[in-house]
Amino acid sequence: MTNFLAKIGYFVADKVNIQDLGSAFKLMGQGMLGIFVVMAVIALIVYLLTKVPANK
Amino acid sequence: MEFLLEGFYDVTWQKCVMYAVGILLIYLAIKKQYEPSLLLPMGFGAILVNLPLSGVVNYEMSGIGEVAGIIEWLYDIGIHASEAMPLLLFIGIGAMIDFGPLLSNPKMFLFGAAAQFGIFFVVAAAVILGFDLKDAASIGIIGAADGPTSILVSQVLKSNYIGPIAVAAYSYMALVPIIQPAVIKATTTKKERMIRMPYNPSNVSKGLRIAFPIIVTFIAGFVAPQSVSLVGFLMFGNLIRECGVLNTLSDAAQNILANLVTLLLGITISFSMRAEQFVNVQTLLIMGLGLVAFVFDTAAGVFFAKIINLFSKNKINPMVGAAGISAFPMSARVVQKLGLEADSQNHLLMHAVGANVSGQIASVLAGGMILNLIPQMIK
Repeated sequence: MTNFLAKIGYFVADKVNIQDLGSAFKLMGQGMLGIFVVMAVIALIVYLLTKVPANK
Repeated sequence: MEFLLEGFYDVTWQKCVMYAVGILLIYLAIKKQYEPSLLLPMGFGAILVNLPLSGVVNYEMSGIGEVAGIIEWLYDIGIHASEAMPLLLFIGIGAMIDFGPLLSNPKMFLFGAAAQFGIFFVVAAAVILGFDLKDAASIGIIGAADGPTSILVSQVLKSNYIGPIAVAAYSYMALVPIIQPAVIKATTTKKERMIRMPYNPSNVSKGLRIAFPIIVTFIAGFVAPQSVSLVGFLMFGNLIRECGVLNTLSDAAQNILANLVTLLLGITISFSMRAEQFVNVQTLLIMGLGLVAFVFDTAAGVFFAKIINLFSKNKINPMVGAAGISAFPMSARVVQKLGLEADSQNHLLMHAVGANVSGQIASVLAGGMILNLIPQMIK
C-alpha cells in the first residue's frame, strides 16, 4: 500500500503541474462558494419579494 | 485523368475515423434521437470538413490564392470573433424557460448551485491528466450540461479542444436519461427515493416574474462581470417572455431564432472537428472526463439534498438534487420517472423542474465564475 501511494506521489510530482493543480483546487473552492453565495442571495431576494404582496 | 484521383490521395486514416464519427453522430441523432437538432448537423459537418481538399474550409487555389470556405467563415464570424451563435441561442433558451416553479420554491436555487460540483472536480482531474489550466477549465465546463456555455467558455479561453468539448457536452446531455438513473440509484436507497414532497405552489406575481430576470442580471453582473453576456442574454430572453407585451418576439425567440441558430451552430462547430485536431488521445480523455463531470454533478446534487435533510423537518427527496444540473427538461423527467418507479403516487416533477431551471442559471454562473477566475490564475 505504501509503495502504491509512493508511486502515485512520484507520478504527481513528475507529471502534474503542481501550480496548476493548486489553482484548480482554488478554483473549486472559490467557484463553488461564489455560485452558492450568488444563488443564495437571489433565493433570499425572491423569497422576500414573494412575501411583499402577502404583507399588503 | 489524374485530377479525378487527387481527393483519394489526400485521404488519411484520421479522416476515415472522422467519417465514422460523423456517421455515428448522424445515427445517434436519427435512430436514437439523441439531441438530433445538434448531433445531426455536427455529424454531417464532421464529414464535410474532413473531405479531402474540402471547399467548406479555407483553401489555397493555385494561381488564385486563398479561397474562403463557408463553414470556416461561419466559425470565424459566429463563434471565434464574437461568440454570437451560442449567445443568441441563449435568448431563445431564456424565452423558453418558465421560472415559475423555481420562484414559488426559492430554496431550489441552492440545488442548482450544488449540482455544478462536477465542473470543478473535473478541472482538477484534467490537470492531473496533464491538461493545462485553461484547457482543464474548458473541459470541466462540460459538466455545466449546457452546450452553448461549454462552447462559449472554451472559445473565450482559447482552448485547443473546442470540438471534442462540444461533442462531449451535447452527447452527454442526450445521455442524461441513461447516466443519471444509474448514479441516482447508486447514491440513494429505495426508501429515500420514496420520500414524497407535497407541492404547494405559492402564487408567483407577474411583477416578480418580470423583476426576476432584471435582478439576476444585476447580481450576476456585479459579482461575475464576465458572465454578463451569458446571464444577460438568457435573462433578456426570459424578460421578453414574461413582460407580456412582446408575445410575437417571444414566439420568434423560442422558435425561429432558436431553430435558426441551432441549425447553424451544429454545422459551424464541426469546423473544430477536423481530423488533425480531433483524432488524438486527448479527445478520448475529454470524452471520459465529460462523463465524470456528469456523474459528479448528479452525485453532488443528491448528497447536498441528503445534507439538507439532516437539518430539515420537511424531508426532501434526494433525487430532486440530481435535477440541479442544467440539462432541461431531461433531468426533471428522469427524477419524475424514478420517483414513480419507487412509489406510483410519488410525483416529483414540479420540484425537479424547479431544481432543473435553477441549474440553468447556476451553470451559466459557473461559466462566468470560470471566466472570471481563470485569467487571474494564469497571469
